[in-house]
Amino acid sequence: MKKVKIAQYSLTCCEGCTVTLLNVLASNPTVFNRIEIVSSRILGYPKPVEADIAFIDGSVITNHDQELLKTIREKSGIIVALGSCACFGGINALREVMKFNEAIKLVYGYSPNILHMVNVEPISSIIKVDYYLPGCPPPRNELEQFITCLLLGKVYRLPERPVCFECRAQGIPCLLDEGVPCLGPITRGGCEAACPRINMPCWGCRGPIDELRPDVYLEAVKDHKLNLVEVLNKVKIFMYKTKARTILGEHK
Amino acid sequence: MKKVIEIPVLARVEGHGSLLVEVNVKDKQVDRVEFRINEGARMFEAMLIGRKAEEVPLIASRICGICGPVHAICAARSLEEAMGVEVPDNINTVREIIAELNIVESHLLHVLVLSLPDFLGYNSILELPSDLKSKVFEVLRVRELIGKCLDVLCGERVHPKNIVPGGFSKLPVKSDLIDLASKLGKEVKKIRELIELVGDKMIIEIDRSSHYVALYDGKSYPITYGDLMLDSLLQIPHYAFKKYFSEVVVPYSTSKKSLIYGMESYMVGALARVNTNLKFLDSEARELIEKLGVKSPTTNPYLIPLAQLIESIHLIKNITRLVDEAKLTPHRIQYKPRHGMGSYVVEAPRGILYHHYVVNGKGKVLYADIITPTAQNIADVEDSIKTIISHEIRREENINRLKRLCENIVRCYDPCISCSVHLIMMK
Repeated sequence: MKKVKIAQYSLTCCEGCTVTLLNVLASNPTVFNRIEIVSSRILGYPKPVEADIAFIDGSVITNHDQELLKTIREKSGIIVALGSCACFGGINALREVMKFNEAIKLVYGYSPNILHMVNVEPISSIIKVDYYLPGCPPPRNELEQFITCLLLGKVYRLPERPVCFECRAQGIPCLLDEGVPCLGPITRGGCEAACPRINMPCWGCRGPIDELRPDVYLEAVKDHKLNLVEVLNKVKIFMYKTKARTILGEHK
Repeated sequence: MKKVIEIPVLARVEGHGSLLVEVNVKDKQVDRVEFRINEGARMFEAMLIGRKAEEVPLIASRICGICGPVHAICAARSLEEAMGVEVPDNINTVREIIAELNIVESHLLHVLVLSLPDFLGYNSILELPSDLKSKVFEVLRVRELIGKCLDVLCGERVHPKNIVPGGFSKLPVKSDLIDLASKLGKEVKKIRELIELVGDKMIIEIDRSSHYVALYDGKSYPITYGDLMLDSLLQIPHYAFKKYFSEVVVPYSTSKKSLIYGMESYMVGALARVNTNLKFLDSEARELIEKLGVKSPTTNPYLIPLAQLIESIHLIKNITRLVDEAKLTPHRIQYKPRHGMGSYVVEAPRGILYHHYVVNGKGKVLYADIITPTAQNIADVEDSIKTIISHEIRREENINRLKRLCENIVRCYDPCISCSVHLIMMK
C-alpha cells in the first residue's frame, strides 16, 4: 500500500502540539507503518515539500510565518490547523491585551527595532484550512481518531457540544455552583472535561462552540453572582481573538 | 580570506534558530559566532501582568511544549515566595517527582531524536539502520510511560492542569501511580543497554572548559530545591540569582545573553549538574561513567547528551524511590494573598530556570521576569563553537565538515528556542 505522506510544520508557538502529534504517531505502530514523514524540522527535515497531509501548529506572528504558510499551502493536499494557536490565535494572542510597544519595553527594558512582527493571527487569516483541531494541546484521543479517519478517507467532525455536557455526563459537580468562574458553558467539548475533572475551571482552551449563546451564559454568570470582569479576563487567556471575547465584551 | 558558515534553519532543535560563523582561513581562527534566535516574540512576561496568581502557572507552562511542567512548578513556587506561603513538604516532594519525570522525558526526546543522529552520522532518527532504529525506538517508548505518569499526576503531560500556588487542585490516589512508577523503574535497563551500545560513539574528545552552574544542597541531587553552585566553588542563594548572573544586550541582535557578572559565559544543564553533584548520583549511573572511561568532572560540551542519559538513569531510580515514600495528601493549602515579591530557581531539563514575580495585595501580578536555561546557554554555545572550530580548522579546512560540527555542538546544548524568546531577534 502506498504510504501517506505527512508533513509537520511549526510557526510561532511552544511546539507542545508537535510533541503531542509525534507521540501519537510513534505510539501507534499501525498508523506509523502507513505513513511517511516527509517534512518536520524537529526530525531533521526542515524544508517544506509535497505532502498529502500537513499539520501546522503555532500562530502567525512574523512575516516569515506568513510567507512560509503560502509555500506550505502550495505543496500540501490537506491542511490541518493543530492546536489553539493555529486554529484561532490561542494564548499567543493574549499579548495583544497590551500595546505592542509597551509590551516590548516591559519585556526588554528598551525598544528594539522590530521589523518583522505582525499582529497575532490564526493561520486561516493567510491560507485556506481544511481541518481544525483545537486544544492546548489537542486531546490525544481526538487526535488519534482524527488521524484514523484521515487514513480511512473519512471526514472528521469536531464535537459541537460544550464542555458543560461532558461534566454532566461524568457527574462532575458544577464549578459555577461553587462560585468559580468556569468557561465550560461556552467552550467546545471533546476533552472529556479534563480540567473540571481535576477540580480546575475550564479555561476555554478549545475555543468557543459554534452556536454561542452569550445571553444564556451571561445570565448564568449573573445567577451565580460571579464577577463579570473576572470572567471576561479569563476568556482572554485562550480566546482573545475569537467571537467569544467580542460578543461577550459587547454585552458588558 | 574569510569564509562564512551559515545555517539559516537549524533542524532538529526545538524552535526556530540559525547560526552564523565567520572563519578566517588565513589565520586559521574563528572571528565571529552568532547563534541567532528567529522565533517570533511571544512576550509572556507581558501576558502575565494583571493575572491572578493561580492563573500564572497555567500560562507560564505554555512558554514551552517540552518543559511546561517545570515552568509551572517554578512559577508556583516563586509566587509562594512572593506571598509568603509555606506549603507542606509532601507537596514539594510531588513537585520534585513531576520535575524529574519532565526532565527524563525531555532528555530522551533530545538525545534520541535530536542529537544522536549527529554522532552516528545520520540525518534523522528515521534513517538509522533498522536494527539500531528499533532499539532506539524501544528506548523512545519509555517516554510514553513517563507521559502516563505525568497524565496521572498533573492531568496532562504537555501542559499540566492542576499546579497552583499552594499545591495542586487535585492529586490522584497513590495506587494509580505506584504501578506506573514500578514499571518505569524496570525501564532503566533499556537506557543502560543503549549507552552500552552507542555510548562510545557519543564521545568526541575535546577540552573546552566552561563555568558550570547547577543547584546544590550538599546531600542529594536536587532538582527543585537547594542553592546555586558555581564551579563547585561559590554557593549562591536562589534569591541572589540576578546579582551574579546578568543579562546583557549584544550589538548584533536584540537577543539578550546571560553572563556571570555580565562578563563570562557559563553552562547550565545536565553536564553542569553531573559535574556539580557527581558524588550524589546513583551508584549505577556512576559505574556507567567509569565504564565509559570519561573523566569527571568533565570539560567537554560534546558529552552533554551522554550526561543526559546517565542522569536519566539516576532520576528514574530516584523517582521510584520518591513515589514509594510520597504522601499525596494534603494536596493544597489555602492562603491569603498579600503584597510582595519573590523568585525561585529550579532545574529545568536544560538547566537553571528562574522566575521572579511582584504581586499586589489581591495576589495579582504586577511584574514578571523569567530567565530560561537556553538564554543562559547561548553565550556558552557561541564560545564553545569558537574554541572547537578554531581547533578543528587547523586539522582540516573542509567547510562542510566544520558546518556539521557546528550543528553537532549546538544540538548538544539542546537549545529550547521557544523558551528563550522573550529574547527576540530582529532581521
